[in-house]
Amino acid sequence: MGSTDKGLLERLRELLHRQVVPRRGFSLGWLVVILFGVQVLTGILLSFYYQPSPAMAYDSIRFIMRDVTTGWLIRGMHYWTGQLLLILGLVQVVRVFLSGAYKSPRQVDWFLGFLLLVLVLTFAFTGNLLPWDQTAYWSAVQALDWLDDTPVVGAPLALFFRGGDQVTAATLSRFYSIHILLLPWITFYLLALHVWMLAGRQRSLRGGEES
Amino acid sequence: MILVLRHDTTTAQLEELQQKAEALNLEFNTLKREGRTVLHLSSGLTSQVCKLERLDCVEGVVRLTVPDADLRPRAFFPYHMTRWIAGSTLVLGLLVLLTGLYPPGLGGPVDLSSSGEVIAPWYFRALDSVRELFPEEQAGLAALVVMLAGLLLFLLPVLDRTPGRTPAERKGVLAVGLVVLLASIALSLRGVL
Repeated sequence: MGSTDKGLLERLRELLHRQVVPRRGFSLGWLVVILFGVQVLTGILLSFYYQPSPAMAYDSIRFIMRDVTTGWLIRGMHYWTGQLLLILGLVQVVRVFLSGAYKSPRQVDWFLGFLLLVLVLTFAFTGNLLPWDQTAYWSAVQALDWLDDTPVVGAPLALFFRGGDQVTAATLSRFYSIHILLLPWITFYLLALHVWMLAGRQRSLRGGEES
Repeated sequence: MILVLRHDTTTAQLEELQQKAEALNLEFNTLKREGRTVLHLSSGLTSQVCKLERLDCVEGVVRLTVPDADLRPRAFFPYHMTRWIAGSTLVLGLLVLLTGLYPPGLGGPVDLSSSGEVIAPWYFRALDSVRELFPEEQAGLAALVVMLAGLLLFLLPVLDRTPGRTPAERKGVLAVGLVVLLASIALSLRGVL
Protein backbone atom coordinates (compact mmCIF):
# COMPACT_ATOMS: atom_id res chain seq x y z
CA MET A 1 0.00 0.00 0.00
CA GLY A 2 2.72 2.36 1.09
CA SER A 3 4.87 1.58 -1.92
CA THR A 4 1.88 2.05 -4.25
CA ASP A 5 1.14 5.45 -2.71
CA LYS A 6 4.76 6.44 -3.07
CA GLY A 7 4.69 5.29 -6.69
CA LEU A 8 1.62 7.38 -7.45
CA LEU A 9 3.03 10.43 -5.72
CA GLU A 10 6.29 9.96 -7.53
CA ARG A 11 4.48 9.72 -10.85
CA LEU A 12 2.47 12.84 -10.08
CA ARG A 13 5.64 14.69 -9.17
CA GLU A 14 7.26 13.59 -12.44
CA LEU A 15 4.19 14.71 -14.35
CA LEU A 16 4.20 18.14 -12.73
CA HIS A 17 7.92 18.67 -13.11
CA ARG A 18 8.36 17.25 -16.59
CA GLN A 19 10.11 19.59 -18.98
CA VAL A 20 7.91 21.03 -21.71
CA VAL A 21 9.08 23.27 -24.52
CA PRO A 22 7.07 26.52 -24.50
CA ARG A 23 5.33 27.40 -27.73
CA ARG A 24 4.85 30.76 -29.30
CA GLY A 25 1.65 31.99 -30.87
CA PHE A 26 -1.81 30.78 -29.99
CA SER A 27 -2.88 27.19 -29.81
CA LEU A 28 -6.47 26.27 -30.48
CA GLY A 29 -5.93 22.82 -28.99
CA TRP A 30 -5.84 23.83 -25.32
CA LEU A 31 -8.83 26.13 -25.88
CA VAL A 32 -10.86 23.23 -27.29
CA VAL A 33 -9.92 21.03 -24.31
CA ILE A 34 -10.94 23.75 -21.81
CA LEU A 35 -14.21 24.44 -23.62
CA PHE A 36 -15.00 20.73 -23.79
CA GLY A 37 -14.41 20.51 -20.02
CA VAL A 38 -16.74 23.48 -19.40
CA GLN A 39 -19.33 21.89 -21.69
CA VAL A 40 -19.24 18.60 -19.77
CA LEU A 41 -19.41 20.31 -16.37
CA THR A 42 -22.29 22.66 -17.24
CA GLY A 43 -24.05 19.80 -19.05
CA ILE A 44 -23.93 17.64 -15.91
CA LEU A 45 -25.34 20.52 -13.82
CA LEU A 46 -28.15 21.10 -16.33
CA SER A 47 -29.03 17.40 -16.39
CA PHE A 48 -29.81 17.58 -12.64
CA TYR A 49 -32.90 19.63 -13.47
CA TYR A 50 -33.73 18.96 -17.12
CA GLN A 51 -36.53 16.46 -17.84
CA PRO A 52 -36.50 14.98 -21.36
CA SER A 53 -40.21 14.60 -22.06
CA PRO A 54 -42.45 16.81 -24.20
CA ALA A 55 -44.66 17.53 -21.20
CA MET A 56 -41.79 18.61 -18.92
CA ALA A 57 -38.85 19.70 -21.07
CA TYR A 58 -40.01 23.26 -21.72
CA ASP A 59 -41.05 23.85 -18.09
CA SER A 60 -37.82 22.37 -16.75
CA ILE A 61 -35.76 24.76 -18.87
CA ARG A 62 -37.89 27.67 -17.64
CA PHE A 63 -37.38 26.41 -14.10
CA ILE A 64 -33.60 26.28 -14.62
CA MET A 65 -33.57 29.83 -15.94
CA ARG A 66 -35.90 31.37 -13.36
CA ASP A 67 -35.72 29.40 -10.13
CA VAL A 68 -32.44 27.49 -9.97
CA THR A 69 -29.62 29.52 -8.41
CA THR A 70 -27.32 30.67 -11.25
CA GLY A 71 -29.28 28.35 -13.55
CA TRP A 72 -29.43 31.06 -16.20
CA LEU A 73 -25.64 31.37 -16.01
CA ILE A 74 -25.03 27.63 -16.30
CA ARG A 75 -27.37 27.35 -19.29
CA GLY A 76 -25.85 30.45 -20.89
CA MET A 77 -22.32 29.13 -20.46
CA HIS A 78 -23.35 25.77 -21.89
CA TYR A 79 -24.91 27.50 -24.89
CA TRP A 80 -22.00 29.86 -25.55
CA THR A 81 -19.39 27.13 -25.07
CA GLY A 82 -21.15 25.15 -27.79
CA GLN A 83 -21.17 28.17 -30.09
CA LEU A 84 -17.47 28.85 -29.46
CA LEU A 85 -16.59 25.21 -30.11
CA LEU A 86 -18.39 25.40 -33.44
CA ILE A 87 -16.59 28.62 -34.38
CA LEU A 88 -13.23 27.19 -33.29
CA GLY A 89 -13.84 24.00 -35.27
CA LEU A 90 -14.65 25.94 -38.43
CA VAL A 91 -11.71 28.33 -37.94
CA GLN A 92 -9.38 25.38 -37.41
CA VAL A 93 -10.55 23.64 -40.61
CA VAL A 94 -10.02 26.85 -42.59
CA ARG A 95 -6.62 27.43 -40.95
CA VAL A 96 -5.39 23.90 -41.66
CA PHE A 97 -6.67 24.13 -45.22
CA LEU A 98 -4.98 27.48 -45.94
CA SER A 99 -1.66 26.43 -44.40
CA GLY A 100 -1.66 23.04 -46.13
CA ALA A 101 -1.19 21.33 -42.76
CA TYR A 102 -3.45 18.45 -43.84
CA LYS A 103 -0.66 17.05 -46.01
CA SER A 104 1.66 14.20 -45.21
CA PRO A 105 2.43 13.23 -42.47
CA ARG A 106 -0.62 14.89 -40.89
CA GLN A 107 -3.46 13.31 -42.87
CA VAL A 108 -4.76 11.44 -39.82
CA ASP A 109 -4.88 14.72 -37.86
CA TRP A 110 -7.09 16.17 -40.59
CA PHE A 111 -9.44 13.15 -40.56
CA LEU A 112 -9.71 13.26 -36.75
CA GLY A 113 -10.21 17.03 -36.71
CA PHE A 114 -12.90 16.79 -39.37
CA LEU A 115 -14.72 14.04 -37.45
CA LEU A 116 -14.55 16.18 -34.30
CA LEU A 117 -16.16 19.06 -36.21
CA VAL A 118 -18.96 16.73 -37.36
CA LEU A 119 -19.42 15.64 -33.74
CA VAL A 120 -19.63 19.26 -32.55
CA LEU A 121 -22.24 19.93 -35.25
CA THR A 122 -24.20 16.86 -34.08
CA PHE A 123 -23.95 18.15 -30.50
CA ALA A 124 -25.45 21.45 -31.66
CA PHE A 125 -28.12 19.71 -33.73
CA THR A 126 -29.27 17.42 -30.90
CA GLY A 127 -28.94 20.09 -28.21
CA ASN A 128 -31.02 22.54 -30.20
CA LEU A 129 -34.19 20.44 -29.76
CA LEU A 130 -33.87 19.94 -25.99
CA PRO A 131 -35.62 23.21 -24.89
CA TRP A 132 -38.66 21.89 -26.82
CA ASP A 133 -39.88 25.37 -27.69
CA GLN A 134 -41.53 26.44 -30.93
CA THR A 135 -38.27 27.27 -32.75
CA ALA A 136 -36.47 24.14 -31.53
CA TYR A 137 -39.31 21.85 -32.51
CA TRP A 138 -39.87 23.17 -36.02
CA SER A 139 -36.13 23.50 -36.71
CA ALA A 140 -35.77 19.81 -35.86
CA VAL A 141 -38.75 18.91 -38.07
CA GLN A 142 -37.22 20.83 -40.97
CA ALA A 143 -33.70 19.45 -40.46
CA LEU A 144 -34.93 15.85 -40.19
CA ASP A 145 -37.10 16.25 -43.31
CA TRP A 146 -34.02 17.43 -45.12
CA LEU A 147 -31.96 14.54 -43.80
CA ASP A 148 -34.74 12.24 -45.01
CA ASP A 149 -34.25 13.58 -48.55
CA THR A 150 -30.56 12.66 -48.61
CA PRO A 151 -30.04 9.68 -50.91
CA VAL A 152 -29.05 6.26 -49.53
CA VAL A 153 -28.11 7.09 -45.92
CA GLY A 154 -30.66 9.86 -45.28
CA ALA A 155 -33.83 7.87 -44.60
CA PRO A 156 -32.30 5.37 -42.12
CA LEU A 157 -30.47 8.19 -40.32
CA ALA A 158 -33.64 10.31 -40.09
CA LEU A 159 -35.56 7.28 -38.76
CA PHE A 160 -32.78 6.65 -36.23
CA PHE A 161 -32.92 10.24 -34.95
CA ARG A 162 -36.73 10.57 -35.08
CA GLY A 163 -37.68 7.19 -33.73
CA GLY A 164 -40.72 7.13 -36.03
CA ASP A 165 -42.40 9.15 -38.74
CA GLN A 166 -42.76 12.35 -36.74
CA VAL A 167 -40.91 14.37 -34.14
CA THR A 168 -42.36 13.09 -30.87
CA ALA A 169 -41.38 12.11 -27.33
CA ALA A 170 -39.28 9.31 -28.82
CA THR A 171 -37.29 11.90 -30.79
CA LEU A 172 -36.66 14.05 -27.73
CA SER A 173 -35.58 11.02 -25.74
CA ARG A 174 -33.19 9.91 -28.49
CA PHE A 175 -31.74 13.38 -28.97
CA TYR A 176 -31.17 13.63 -25.23
CA SER A 177 -29.47 10.22 -24.99
CA ILE A 178 -27.26 10.94 -27.99
CA HIS A 179 -26.45 14.41 -26.64
CA ILE A 180 -25.45 13.39 -23.11
CA LEU A 181 -24.32 9.77 -23.45
CA LEU A 182 -23.12 8.88 -26.91
CA LEU A 183 -21.49 12.05 -28.24
CA PRO A 184 -19.49 13.08 -25.13
CA TRP A 185 -17.72 9.73 -24.92
CA ILE A 186 -16.94 9.54 -28.63
CA THR A 187 -15.71 13.14 -28.54
CA PHE A 188 -13.61 12.46 -25.44
CA TYR A 189 -11.80 9.51 -27.01
CA LEU A 190 -11.32 11.23 -30.38
CA LEU A 191 -10.07 14.41 -28.70
CA ALA A 192 -7.67 12.41 -26.52
CA LEU A 193 -6.37 10.54 -29.58
CA HIS A 194 -6.02 13.82 -31.51
CA VAL A 195 -4.10 15.54 -28.67
CA TRP A 196 -1.96 12.45 -28.06
CA MET A 197 -0.96 12.25 -31.73
CA LEU A 198 -0.14 15.96 -31.93
CA ALA A 199 1.85 15.85 -28.68
CA GLY A 200 3.71 12.75 -29.86
CA ARG A 201 4.68 14.45 -33.10
CA GLN A 202 5.89 17.57 -31.29
CA ARG A 203 7.99 15.38 -28.96
CA SER A 204 9.58 13.55 -31.86
CA LEU A 205 10.33 16.76 -33.74
CA ARG A 206 12.12 18.53 -30.89
CA GLY A 207 15.65 18.05 -29.66
CA GLY A 208 18.64 16.31 -31.23
CA GLU A 209 22.18 15.18 -30.65
CA GLU A 210 25.26 15.13 -32.77
CA SER A 211 25.63 12.00 -34.91
CA MET B 1 15.20 25.40 -38.99
CA ILE B 2 15.26 21.66 -38.48
CA LEU B 3 14.41 19.14 -41.18
CA VAL B 4 13.12 15.91 -39.67
CA LEU B 5 13.68 12.88 -41.88
CA ARG B 6 11.53 9.78 -42.07
CA HIS B 7 12.52 6.69 -40.12
CA ASP B 8 13.09 4.72 -43.33
CA THR B 9 15.40 7.28 -44.97
CA THR B 10 18.21 5.52 -46.82
CA THR B 11 21.84 6.65 -46.91
CA ALA B 12 21.44 7.53 -50.58
CA GLN B 13 18.45 9.75 -49.81
CA LEU B 14 20.34 11.45 -46.98
CA GLU B 15 23.32 12.10 -49.27
CA GLU B 16 21.02 13.51 -51.94
CA LEU B 17 19.48 15.85 -49.37
CA GLN B 18 22.88 16.97 -48.11
CA GLN B 19 24.08 17.61 -51.68
CA LYS B 20 21.00 19.72 -52.41
CA ALA B 21 21.51 21.66 -49.18
CA GLU B 22 25.14 22.30 -50.14
CA ALA B 23 24.07 23.35 -53.64
CA LEU B 24 21.78 25.92 -52.04
CA ASN B 25 24.72 27.19 -49.91
CA LEU B 26 22.95 26.24 -46.71
CA GLU B 27 24.94 25.67 -43.53
CA PHE B 28 23.79 22.56 -41.72
CA ASN B 29 24.61 19.88 -39.17
CA THR B 30 23.36 16.32 -39.39
CA LEU B 31 22.07 15.16 -36.02
CA LYS B 32 20.52 11.97 -34.68
CA ARG B 33 17.78 11.64 -32.10
CA GLU B 34 16.08 8.40 -31.03
CA GLY B 35 17.21 6.68 -34.20
CA ARG B 36 15.91 9.48 -36.37
CA THR B 37 18.08 11.73 -38.49
CA VAL B 38 17.52 15.48 -38.54
CA LEU B 39 19.25 18.32 -40.38
CA HIS B 40 19.78 21.48 -38.35
CA LEU B 41 19.99 24.38 -40.79
CA SER B 42 21.76 27.39 -39.31
CA SER B 43 21.29 29.60 -42.37
CA GLY B 44 19.02 29.86 -45.37
CA LEU B 45 15.76 31.37 -46.57
CA THR B 46 12.36 29.79 -46.13
CA SER B 47 11.99 29.47 -49.90
CA GLN B 48 15.25 27.49 -50.05
CA VAL B 49 14.18 25.19 -47.23
CA CYS B 50 10.83 24.62 -48.99
CA LYS B 51 12.77 23.10 -51.90
CA LEU B 52 14.25 20.52 -49.54
CA GLU B 53 10.93 19.96 -47.80
CA ARG B 54 9.48 18.54 -51.01
CA LEU B 55 11.85 15.58 -50.97
CA ASP B 56 10.24 12.25 -50.05
CA CYS B 57 12.60 11.58 -47.17
CA VAL B 58 11.60 14.79 -45.32
CA GLU B 59 8.80 14.22 -42.85
CA GLY B 60 8.50 17.77 -41.54
CA VAL B 61 10.15 21.07 -40.77
CA VAL B 62 10.51 22.72 -37.35
CA ARG B 63 10.91 26.46 -37.73
CA LEU B 64 13.05 28.02 -35.01
CA THR B 65 11.82 31.58 -35.37
CA VAL B 66 12.14 32.50 -31.69
CA PRO B 67 15.30 33.14 -29.66
CA ASP B 68 16.86 30.03 -28.16
CA ALA B 69 16.17 31.24 -24.60
CA ASP B 70 12.43 31.13 -25.26
CA LEU B 71 12.65 27.61 -26.63
CA ARG B 72 14.35 26.27 -23.51
CA PRO B 73 12.16 23.58 -21.93
CA ARG B 74 10.53 24.57 -18.65
CA ALA B 75 8.86 22.53 -15.91
CA PHE B 76 5.12 22.03 -16.37
CA PHE B 77 4.63 23.25 -12.79
CA PRO B 78 4.52 26.14 -12.23
CA TYR B 79 5.34 27.69 -15.63
CA HIS B 80 2.92 25.93 -17.98
CA MET B 81 0.27 25.34 -15.32
CA THR B 82 0.13 29.08 -14.58
CA ARG B 83 -0.41 29.77 -18.25
CA TRP B 84 -3.16 27.14 -18.37
CA ILE B 85 -4.93 28.58 -15.31
CA ALA B 86 -4.65 32.14 -16.63
CA GLY B 87 -5.98 31.07 -20.04
CA SER B 88 -8.85 29.08 -18.50
CA THR B 89 -9.83 32.02 -16.29
CA LEU B 90 -9.92 34.30 -19.33
CA VAL B 91 -12.10 31.82 -21.23
CA LEU B 92 -14.50 31.44 -18.29
CA GLY B 93 -14.66 35.23 -17.96
CA LEU B 94 -15.51 35.52 -21.65
CA LEU B 95 -18.27 32.91 -21.29
CA VAL B 96 -19.79 34.73 -18.30
CA LEU B 97 -19.59 38.03 -20.20
CA LEU B 98 -21.27 36.57 -23.28
CA THR B 99 -24.00 35.01 -21.14
CA GLY B 100 -24.58 38.31 -19.34
CA LEU B 101 -24.73 40.33 -22.54
CA TYR B 102 -26.50 37.82 -24.80
CA PRO B 103 -28.33 35.21 -22.73
CA PRO B 104 -29.84 32.36 -24.76
CA GLY B 105 -33.56 32.86 -25.01
CA LEU B 106 -36.47 30.49 -24.71
CA GLY B 107 -39.28 30.78 -27.27
CA GLY B 108 -42.92 30.02 -26.75
CA PRO B 109 -44.24 26.49 -26.11
CA VAL B 110 -44.59 24.17 -29.11
CA ASP B 111 -47.60 24.90 -31.31
CA LEU B 112 -48.14 21.81 -33.44
CA SER B 113 -50.70 23.57 -35.64
CA SER B 114 -48.32 26.20 -37.01
CA SER B 115 -44.61 26.17 -37.76
CA GLY B 116 -44.37 29.93 -38.28
CA GLU B 117 -41.18 31.10 -39.97
CA VAL B 118 -38.38 28.66 -39.23
CA ILE B 119 -34.88 30.07 -39.50
CA ALA B 120 -32.12 27.48 -39.32
CA PRO B 121 -29.32 28.01 -36.76
CA TRP B 122 -26.37 29.95 -38.22
CA TYR B 123 -24.24 26.83 -38.64
CA PHE B 124 -26.88 25.16 -40.84
CA ARG B 125 -27.96 28.28 -42.71
CA ALA B 126 -25.67 27.66 -45.68
CA LEU B 127 -27.09 24.14 -46.08
CA ASP B 128 -30.61 25.54 -45.80
CA SER B 129 -29.84 28.07 -48.55
CA VAL B 130 -28.46 25.34 -50.83
CA ARG B 131 -31.72 23.47 -50.38
CA GLU B 132 -33.72 26.59 -51.30
CA LEU B 133 -31.68 27.00 -54.49
CA PHE B 134 -33.14 23.73 -55.78
CA PRO B 135 -36.82 23.13 -56.62
CA GLU B 136 -38.81 21.15 -54.05
CA GLU B 137 -38.84 18.00 -56.21
CA GLN B 138 -35.03 18.07 -56.43
CA ALA B 139 -34.42 18.24 -52.67
CA GLY B 140 -32.57 14.93 -52.88
CA LEU B 141 -30.17 16.42 -55.40
CA ALA B 142 -29.45 19.38 -53.08
CA ALA B 143 -28.74 16.98 -50.23
CA LEU B 144 -26.50 14.93 -52.50
CA VAL B 145 -24.50 18.04 -53.50
CA VAL B 146 -23.93 18.94 -49.84
CA MET B 147 -23.04 15.35 -48.95
CA LEU B 148 -20.53 15.11 -51.79
CA ALA B 149 -18.98 18.46 -50.87
CA GLY B 150 -18.53 17.23 -47.29
CA LEU B 151 -17.03 13.96 -48.50
CA LEU B 152 -14.59 15.75 -50.82
CA LEU B 153 -13.50 18.02 -47.97
CA PHE B 154 -12.99 15.02 -45.70
CA LEU B 155 -10.88 13.27 -48.33
CA LEU B 156 -8.82 16.39 -49.09
CA PRO B 157 -5.46 14.91 -47.99
CA VAL B 158 -6.03 11.99 -50.37
CA LEU B 159 -7.31 14.08 -53.28
CA ASP B 160 -4.79 16.92 -53.12
CA ARG B 161 -1.74 15.63 -55.03
CA THR B 162 0.10 18.97 -55.26
CA PRO B 163 3.77 18.67 -54.29
CA GLY B 164 4.17 21.21 -51.48
CA ARG B 165 2.38 23.27 -48.87
CA THR B 166 3.15 26.80 -50.03
CA PRO B 167 0.29 28.77 -51.64
CA ALA B 168 2.24 28.98 -54.88
CA GLU B 169 2.31 25.20 -55.13
CA ARG B 170 -1.40 24.79 -54.34
CA LYS B 171 -2.95 27.53 -56.45
CA GLY B 172 -5.74 25.35 -57.87
CA VAL B 173 -6.73 23.75 -54.56
CA LEU B 174 -6.62 27.10 -52.76
CA ALA B 175 -8.73 28.77 -55.46
CA VAL B 176 -11.44 26.07 -55.23
CA GLY B 177 -11.32 26.17 -51.43
CA LEU B 178 -11.65 29.95 -51.27
CA VAL B 179 -14.59 29.89 -53.71
CA VAL B 180 -16.34 27.28 -51.53
CA LEU B 181 -15.56 29.29 -48.38
CA LEU B 182 -16.89 32.56 -49.83
CA ALA B 183 -19.95 30.77 -51.23
CA SER B 184 -20.64 29.26 -47.79
CA ILE B 185 -20.42 32.69 -46.14
CA ALA B 186 -22.67 34.23 -48.82
CA LEU B 187 -25.21 31.41 -48.50
CA SER B 188 -25.19 31.75 -44.70
CA LEU B 189 -25.91 35.47 -44.99
CA ARG B 190 -28.52 34.94 -47.69
CA GLY B 191 -31.21 33.85 -45.25
CA VAL B 192 -30.51 36.73 -42.88
CA LEU B 193 -29.87 39.79 -45.04
